[in-house]
Amino acid sequence: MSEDRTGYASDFDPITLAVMANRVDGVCRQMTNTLLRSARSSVLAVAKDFSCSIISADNDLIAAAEGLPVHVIGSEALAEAMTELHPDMREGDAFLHNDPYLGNTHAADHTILVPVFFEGEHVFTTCAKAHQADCGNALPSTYMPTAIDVYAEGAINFPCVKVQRDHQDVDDIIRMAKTRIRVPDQWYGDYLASLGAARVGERALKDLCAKYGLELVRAWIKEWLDYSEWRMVQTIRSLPAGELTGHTFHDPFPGMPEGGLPLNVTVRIDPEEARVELDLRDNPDSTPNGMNQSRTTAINNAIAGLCFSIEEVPHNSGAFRRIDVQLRENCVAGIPVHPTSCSMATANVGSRIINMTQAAFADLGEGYGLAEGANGYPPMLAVVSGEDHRPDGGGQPYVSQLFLATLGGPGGPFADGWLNYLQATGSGSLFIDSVEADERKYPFVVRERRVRTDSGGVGWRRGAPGSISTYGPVGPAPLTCNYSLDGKVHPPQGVRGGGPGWPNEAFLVDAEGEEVEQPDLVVQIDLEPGELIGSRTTGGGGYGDPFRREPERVLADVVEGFVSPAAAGESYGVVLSGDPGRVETLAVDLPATEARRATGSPTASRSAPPTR
Amino acid sequence: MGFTITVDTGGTFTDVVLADEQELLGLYKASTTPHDPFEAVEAGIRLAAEARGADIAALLADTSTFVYATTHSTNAILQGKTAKTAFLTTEGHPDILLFREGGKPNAFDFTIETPAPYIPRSLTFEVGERVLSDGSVDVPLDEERLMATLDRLVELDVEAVAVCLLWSIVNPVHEQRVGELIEERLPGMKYSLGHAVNPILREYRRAAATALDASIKPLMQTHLEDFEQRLRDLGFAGTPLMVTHVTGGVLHFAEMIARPLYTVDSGPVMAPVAAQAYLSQEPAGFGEDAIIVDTGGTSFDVSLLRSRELVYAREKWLGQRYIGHMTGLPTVDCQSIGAGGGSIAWVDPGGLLRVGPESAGAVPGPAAYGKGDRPTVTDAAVALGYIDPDFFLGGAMTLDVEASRRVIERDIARPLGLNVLRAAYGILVVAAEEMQKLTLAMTVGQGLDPRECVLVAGGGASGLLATLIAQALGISKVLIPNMAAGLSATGAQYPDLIADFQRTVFTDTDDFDAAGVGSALADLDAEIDGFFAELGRSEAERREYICEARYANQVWELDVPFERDPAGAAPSPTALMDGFDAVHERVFAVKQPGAVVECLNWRGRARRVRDKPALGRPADNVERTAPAVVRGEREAYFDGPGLITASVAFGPALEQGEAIEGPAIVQEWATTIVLSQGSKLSVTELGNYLIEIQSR
Repeated sequence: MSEDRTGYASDFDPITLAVMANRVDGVCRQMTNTLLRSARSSVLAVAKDFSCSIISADNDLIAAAEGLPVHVIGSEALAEAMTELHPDMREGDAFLHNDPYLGNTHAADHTILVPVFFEGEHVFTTCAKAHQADCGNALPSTYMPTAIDVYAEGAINFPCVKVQRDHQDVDDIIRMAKTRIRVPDQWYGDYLASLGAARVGERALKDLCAKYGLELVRAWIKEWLDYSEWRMVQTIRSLPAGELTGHTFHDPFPGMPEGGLPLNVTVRIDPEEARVELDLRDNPDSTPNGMNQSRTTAINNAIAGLCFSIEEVPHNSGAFRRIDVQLRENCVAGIPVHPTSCSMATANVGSRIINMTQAAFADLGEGYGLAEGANGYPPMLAVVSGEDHRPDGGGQPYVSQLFLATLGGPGGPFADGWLNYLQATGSGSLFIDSVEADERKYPFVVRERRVRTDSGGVGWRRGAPGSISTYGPVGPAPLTCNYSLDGKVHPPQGVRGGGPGWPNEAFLVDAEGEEVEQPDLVVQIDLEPGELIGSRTTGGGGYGDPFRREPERVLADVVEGFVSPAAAGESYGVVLSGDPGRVETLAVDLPATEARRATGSPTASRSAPPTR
Repeated sequence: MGFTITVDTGGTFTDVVLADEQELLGLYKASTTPHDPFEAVEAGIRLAAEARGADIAALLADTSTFVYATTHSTNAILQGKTAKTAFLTTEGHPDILLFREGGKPNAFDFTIETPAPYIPRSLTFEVGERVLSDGSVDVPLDEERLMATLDRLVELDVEAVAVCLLWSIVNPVHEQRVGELIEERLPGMKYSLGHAVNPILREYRRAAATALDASIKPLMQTHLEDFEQRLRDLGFAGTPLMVTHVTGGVLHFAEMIARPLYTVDSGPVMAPVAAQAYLSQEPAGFGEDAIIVDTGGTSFDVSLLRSRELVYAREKWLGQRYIGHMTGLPTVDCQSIGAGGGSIAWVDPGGLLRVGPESAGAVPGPAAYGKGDRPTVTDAAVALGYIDPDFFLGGAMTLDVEASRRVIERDIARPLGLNVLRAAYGILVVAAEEMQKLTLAMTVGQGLDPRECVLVAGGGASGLLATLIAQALGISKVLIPNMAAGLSATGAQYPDLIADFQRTVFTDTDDFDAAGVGSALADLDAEIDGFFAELGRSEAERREYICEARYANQVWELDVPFERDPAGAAPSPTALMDGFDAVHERVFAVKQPGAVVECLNWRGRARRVRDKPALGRPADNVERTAPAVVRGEREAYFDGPGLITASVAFGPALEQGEAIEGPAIVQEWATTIVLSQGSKLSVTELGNYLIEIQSR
C-alpha cells in the first residue's frame, strides 16, 4: 500500500469486501458457540476461557470475533508451526498444539488446528484454543508460578502433533494425553468440543469458497488485510508523535527481587510513517519460575495494551503490520530460552505489560490511555481439586479453575471501569460462575460474593470495585486450592490524578469462624470441612482528578454502595446531606461540596483499605 | 357462531386481524397510541367493522374469541416504567443481578459503562437463610430480621417484591415462608417467588426472571383488567380475553396476570406461529424446516420452524447480550437486531460501508419522508426505483425521491467513489448481510441447514430484502404471505392454549433414578390435568415432554423430547442416550455414543388445540387498496442488468399460478416485493407469493 494515499482506494468492490468480512466473522462466532456449549470443564463451558480464530494459508490472522485478546493475537504463529512441520498435511487432518516454544501462549492452552482445503488447496486454518482444566502439571493447577523450569512445571507438551488423520483420532496421541492429564474424560470431552469448533469452522469456510470461488476468496484475504492496515494507518496518524514510557512492578513471587519485578515498556509513535514501536527489551532476564512470557504472549500483550488505548481497528495481521514489538532473548517479558517456564504467560507479567502500556498512553494527554486494571489469581480464581465424597459423588476426582467473582477494570477517558473485568488479558470476555452450577458440580459451598465497597481507584472516572467472596468444602473430604496473588503488594495504579485500586487479599475463615489473613503470595492449601477461603480483590485504577467527578455520579455511587459516604467526602470532596443509613434521604450539598473542593485536595486515606 | 379478533400492538402500527369460523377476513392497521394502547385497538376494530358494514358493538357481539399480543410489559421495562421493586435474596449474595453471568460485548471497548442491575443495590436486601444443593437447610430462616426488612420496604414505598433464594428449586421452604410473611406483614403487596416463576438452575437467570415478573405484576394486572373491561363495554361478550405468550401459545388473561413475565417480548413470537399455519395449509411442497424473518422499520426478527414445529431457546436477552437481562425461560427462539427500513447507512473511517445500528426511527424518519437528512435502507429502495413514490402505503404519503438520492450521494456514493445507484444497492446488500449473519448463526446454532429451509418473510420491509437474504444463505424458496404486513396479528389467530410445567430431578443414565423421574413426571401430569380441567375437558388435548440433558460433566443442556410411557414409567436410559446423541450431533457436529448422559430438568407442556381459520386472500384488503393501474413499468436498478425499465405488477390483481420473472417489482398494499434477476414469483393456491431463486 502506498504511503501517500489520503483515503483508502482500491479496485476491489467495497460491498463485497464488507460482505465477506461479515461472513468470516460469523464463522468465527459459530465456532465459539460450538465450543462453549459442548465443553465439559467449567473453565471453558462457563468462564469461556477459550478463543477461536481464522488464519489464512499464508499464516495471516484474518478474524478473531469474540476472542480473548491474549489468545487470538499471534495465533497465526501456531498455524505457522503447522505448515512448517507438516508439509504433507491434507484434508481430514487436525493438529494438537500447546508448545509455548513453537508459537503457543502457555502449556495449559491446548489448540486444535484444522487446515481447510478447497479444490485440493489449503486456503484457511481454523484455530480453537482452549485453556484446559488440567494439563498434567506437577501440581493440580494449570498455573505453576514457582516452577523453576518446564521440567518442574510438568505439563505434557504437544509440539503441533497430528491428532486426527482422515477425520479419525490418532489414538496414540489421545492415549498419551489421557495417561498424563487429571480427570482424563473431562479432557477428552473438552478436546471434542475444540475439535467440533474447528470442524464447524472448516465446514462453513468451505461453503464460503464454494460460493465465491477460490480466486475471489484469496483476493478478499489480501484486500481485507490491506484495508485493516489502512485503518491502523489512519488511527496512528491521528496520534501525537512521541516517545512514552510505562513502568510497573509485578509482586515479589518466589524467584523475583524482594520489592517486586520491575517492568518497563517504551512506546514510540511515529504518525508520519504511521508506525508504532513497542519496546520490551529493557526488562529483567528470565526468572527461575513460571512467570515468564512466551514470545507470543509478549507480542500480543504489548499489542493489546496499544489496542486498548486507541480507536478500534480490525484485529488482524494487516493492522498489526504497522506495529513493531521489540523483544530480546532470555527476558522475562521477551523470548524465553528452553527450558524456561512460561506457565503463567497469559496473565501476571502479561497483564502487567498491557496495563503499563495503556497507562503510558495516558501521558499523551486528557482523553488518551487507561488506568491500570486488576491483576492476580486470588482464591476466587483458584484451581480447585479433590474427590467428591458427597452421597452421590462416588469419590470421583475433580479439577477445574473457578471464576467465582470479579476483579475491577480500569477507569478511562470515556467510562468508569468495567465491573466483570477479571484481568487485562481477557478484559471482561470471560464469564463468571453460577454459584448453583458450581455447588452442584463440585463439593463446595459459596458463602459470599459481593462488591467490595470503595476498592475501585478514585478518579474523574473511577476504577471498578473488586469483590469479596468466600467458599469451602462440603462433605467429608478436603479441597485443594491453588492460588497466587499479584496485585497485593503493587495494586493497580491510577493515571492523570486518579487513585490506585485496593490490593488483593486472601484470608482463611477457620472452623470457629475466625478470620486469618494469608500473607503468602503463592499458595497451595488444603481446606478442611468447616473452613472457608476468602478473597478481597483489587479494584481498577482511577482516571483523572476525583475532585472533578460529577457530584451526581458520586451520590449515585454512594446510594448504590460502590463508594462509602466517608469516601465521597474525603476522596471525592462531595459533601452529602441526609442519613447515610437511609439512602433515600441523601442529597448533594452543593455549596459545601464546592467549598470542600476549592480548599482541599483528595486525601489519600480512602485510597487504601482500612488496616486490620 | 362467532368471529375471532386478534391484535398485535407494534411500535408504529397496531394490527387487527378478523376471522370467522372458516377463514381470515381482513387485516386492519391503525397508528399505535403509546399513551393508551387500547385507543389504537379500538380504532382497528372500528376499521374492521366499517369494512364489513357493521357497527363496532354488533361486530364485537358476534365475536367469541379475542386474542391480544401485547408489548405493554416489554415497553414498560424498556422505558423503566415498572413498579418500584425490591429484591430479596440469600445472605452473602446481594449482587446476583449486578454480576449477571459476566461477559462483555467487546473486550477492546472501554467506552461502555457497566450495566446497572435490573433492581438497584439500594433496593436489594439479604435474607438470613441458606439451603444447600441437596435441599438441606443449612441456615434457618431469620424471620425477625426479615420482618424488619419488610417494614423497611414500606418506608421505601416499594410496590412489588422479587424473592429469589439459592437452591429454592430443590427446596422452596424458605421462599414460600417469605411469601407468607409478605402477605402477613404487607397485605396486598405484589410479589414473585423464584421457584414459582422459573424453576431453573443458575441463580442469575432465575433471579432476573423473578425480578422482571414482580416489577410488571401491578401494571399488567391493571392493564389486562382494564383492557378486558373496555372490550366488554364496547360489546364483547365472548370467552375471557386471551393473551399470547413467549412460549408461542395463548392463555386467559387471569392466568397471565399471575405470570406476567410470559408476556415480555412475546410480540415477535406470533410470526413463526403464522408461518406454521401457512406451511400447513399451503398445498405446495415447502419442506419441513423454515426460517421466518419479520422486517419492520426498526427491527429485524428471526425465528425458526424445525419439522414445522416451533424452536425454543433458553437464553433470550431482553436488550443487548451481556448488558440486558436474561430470564432463562424456555421461549420461542426469536432473535432481533436493530435493522430495518429506518436503519442509517454510513461510511466508517476506513472506508467501509456500514448500515445501522442507528435508526432514523419514525422521527425524523428516512430522507424520503421529508424530515430526515441521513440515508436509510428505505431511501436506498426509493433511489433504486423499487418503491413507488406515489403509492406508498396505498398513496397515503408521497415520497421525496430527490432527497433520498441527495443524501446517498453525499454520505455514501462520493466517499466510496461509486455512483448513486450502486451505492444505494450496496446499502441494501450490507443491510441484508447483517440480517443473514444473525439468521445463519441462529440456524446453525439450532442445527438447521439454511439451504434446506423455506424463508417466510413478513413485515413492511420484507419484500425489499427477502430475496437478498435468501441469496446470501443459498435458500431457493421464499414465501411472502399476502398478510406479510401483519404477520404477527395473523399468527395470533393460530396458537393453541399452552402452559408449561417443570420439575428438577438430577440423575444420569448410568445410575438412573427411575422412581424419582417417574414421580416428577406424575407431578407434571397432575399439573397438566389441572390446567386442562380449568379449561373444561376436551378431545383436543395434547401433552409434550422434554428432558434437558447433557453429557456427563458438560455444563449446558440440550432439549431431548421423549415419549411418555402410557403406564406412567420413566423413559428408559437408552432412549434418553440415543435421543441425546442425535441432538448433540445435529447441533455441535460431534457426538460421543455410549457416554453417560446427565438429566436435569423435566418439562411437560399442556396444549389444548384450538380451531383455526383457513388462510386465503382476505377480500377486505384487496378491495380497499387497489390502485388505478394494476400493471405498469418503472425505471429501477437491479444487480446485473443495471438501470432498466422494469415491469411493475399489483400483487392482489395477479391470478393464481401466474408467474413473474425478475427483474421486476410486485406491489402489495403495505410492502414492495423486489424480484432480482434469476428469481421468479408465482401466486400460490391461497393467494400468497412464492419466489423461487436460482442459486448463483
